[in-house]
Amino acid sequence: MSTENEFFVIKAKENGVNVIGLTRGTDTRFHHSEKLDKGEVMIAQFTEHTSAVKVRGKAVIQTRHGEIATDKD
Amino acid sequence: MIIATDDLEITCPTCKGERVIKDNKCDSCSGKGVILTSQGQTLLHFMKRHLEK
Ligand SMILES: [Zn+2]
Repeated sequence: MSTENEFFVIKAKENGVNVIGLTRGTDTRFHHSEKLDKGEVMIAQFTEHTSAVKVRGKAVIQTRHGEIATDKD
Repeated sequence: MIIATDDLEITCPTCKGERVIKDNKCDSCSGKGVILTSQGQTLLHFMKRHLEK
């Protein structure tokens, strides 16, 4: 499966949303974080360094699988 | 432009900034207690580059 050009979008719905990138490989660490304030948008890809992403705070995330809001069940 | 601390780094959500979990170094942040943002990385690399000269 090619992951090339695949990206996802995160839009912050409050100040101080954190997007945290986790390392690819045998040990999983946080190698990077990003702070988004309300209304800010981040467009990101999974890369050779990042295999997972954690989002904290109220945000809407769009992927090719659909849209998900962190504040809704 | 004002840069706040949380624009540069955030507290590690695994160890809550404690650096250790049950006396072991936190794996998530490699014991740093914080994770740098890209703005933090940019500033750090800029400072390093110019301080070395
Ligand atoms: Zn930690």
